[in-house]
Amino acid sequence: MPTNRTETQLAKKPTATELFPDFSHRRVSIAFVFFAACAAFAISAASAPWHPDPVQSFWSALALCVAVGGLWISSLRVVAPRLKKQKIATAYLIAWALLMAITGLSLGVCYAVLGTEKGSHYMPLPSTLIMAAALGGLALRYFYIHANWQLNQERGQIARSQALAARIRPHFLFNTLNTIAELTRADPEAAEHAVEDLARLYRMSLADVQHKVPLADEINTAKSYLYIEQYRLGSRMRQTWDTDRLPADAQLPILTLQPLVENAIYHGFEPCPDGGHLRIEGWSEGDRLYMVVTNPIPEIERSNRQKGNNMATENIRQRLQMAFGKQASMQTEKLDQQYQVTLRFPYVTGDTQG
Amino acid sequence: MRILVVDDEPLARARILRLVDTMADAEVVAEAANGREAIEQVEHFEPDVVLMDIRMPGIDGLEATRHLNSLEKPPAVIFVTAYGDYALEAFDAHALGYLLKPVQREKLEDALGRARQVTQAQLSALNNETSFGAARTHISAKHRGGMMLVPVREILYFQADQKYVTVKHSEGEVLIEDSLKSLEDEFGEMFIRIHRKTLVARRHIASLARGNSGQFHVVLKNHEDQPEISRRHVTEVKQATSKL
Repeated sequence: MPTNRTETQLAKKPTATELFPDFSHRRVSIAFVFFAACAAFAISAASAPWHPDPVQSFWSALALCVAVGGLWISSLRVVAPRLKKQKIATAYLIAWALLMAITGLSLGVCYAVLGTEKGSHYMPLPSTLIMAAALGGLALRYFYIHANWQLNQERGQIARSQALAARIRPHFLFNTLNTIAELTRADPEAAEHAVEDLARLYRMSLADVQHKVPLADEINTAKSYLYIEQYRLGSRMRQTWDTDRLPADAQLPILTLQPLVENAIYHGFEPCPDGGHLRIEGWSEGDRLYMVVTNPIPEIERSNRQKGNNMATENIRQRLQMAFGKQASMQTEKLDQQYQVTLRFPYVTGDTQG
Repeated sequence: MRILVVDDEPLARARILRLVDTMADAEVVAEAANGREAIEQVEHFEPDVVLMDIRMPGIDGLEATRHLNSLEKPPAVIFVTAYGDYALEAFDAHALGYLLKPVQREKLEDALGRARQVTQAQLSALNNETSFGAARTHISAKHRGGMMLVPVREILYFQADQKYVTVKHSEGEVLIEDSLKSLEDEFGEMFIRIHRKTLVARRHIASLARGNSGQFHVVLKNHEDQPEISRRHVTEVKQATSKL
């Protein structure tokens, strides 16, 4: 639970590192050069009517913009992570002050090289500082809008995942209720078991999608699901579990395994009159954990079923990525007569996750 | 009233059986676990009503009903389905005859009282409304007084004659009354037209061969027939087979 809370809070408000774009990205450097050129052009155009040499003025303005902007951005790369705990306004104020200091220093260097008189002729101190302040303000405003936009994108993604995860297929629900309706007469004890399993599944689907659970819980959820499906599919589905080699306390996002098993039933067994074998295997290699779900491919594949499959696996892939980054992966493979999904994720226990 | 219960889930069948058991003038004469079995059982037992689950492996309930309708005395069909895939809400439950799972006893009794044959118009509307495509997985044909089902995958080619279409499949041939055009529309990419009179299954094409008179023929995998390609279709067939 504590893991869950901190993560949701992070997602609700941009942190200071997100307040600035990722400056290491190539697109950002291109945008910066473009912005600097525009700024230089605006500055020189504004002073062109009374400037003795407008072209020269453009070049010097460009040189100054690139130098100051470049220095500012490199220093922000270093400073931004340290502003994490500051308020948004404070972080931006510090960034702005930094820009002013860099502009002042650059002008100082410029005067020292060109000589005070010539230097101030090209770049008079007061107007340059005012210009830098205004352009810096614009840049910060842009950063802020960009950060919010990115945040909205992420929120949208989380909402989509959440909506998908929360969805128990109505088909499954009503079929299960039908099964239970018969079991109450034919086998009351099994009916009780099935109701408990259905409750467990429904509870899991209501949890926050970013919530992490121990692997043992996730395995039990998948088993609850299969307990119900076994009644429906009877001898058409034989299951083999080989997951004892996995550490029970490994954390993974809730509802990672169950949807994979559900997919296997939906695509591999429901359309298949003869049925086959469902295998769930797992093992560890160092601190990497592997889980593999294998199901038969039915002879007649319905194109519309394929589509649903992609959506569910894409959802799991995204959530694994959000939880573990590049340390996790999901591979799907079509073997001869079988469909295989392989999950790889790091061995992280609840304590180290915080 | 003699009833056939069709559902791939044993417990779902058991429930219907138990419900019908409490009714005075109805009895379940047989059960089936998929569309193919359903057709066999209908031929064998000739029930008055079929309680038909829609989503089943192999031949699903809609397709089975379509095949049943080609019988001389088709039974009445009541669809039984869980919510979720079928836009049955668009239909009047009395007119079409459908029940939702879990089935209630009163609703079942009511539906049995009104049971009637599903019309062709209802079937095609259902096919349009549902997420399953309209293409059949089997072709049904009259054969020695009974019905023969040929899996579409095993069909080599369709050839039109004066009145019928010959369906050549890996184990023989049957005649059907569908038009070549409607078959072409239904199965789309699975078959390619090589002649005004002929559709060939792409999956069964091995290569093209040229006869003595300069005519092109399709060489089939594991079959000696070599259907002729008309001049008009040569280029198209060549392009298609080069992709195989």
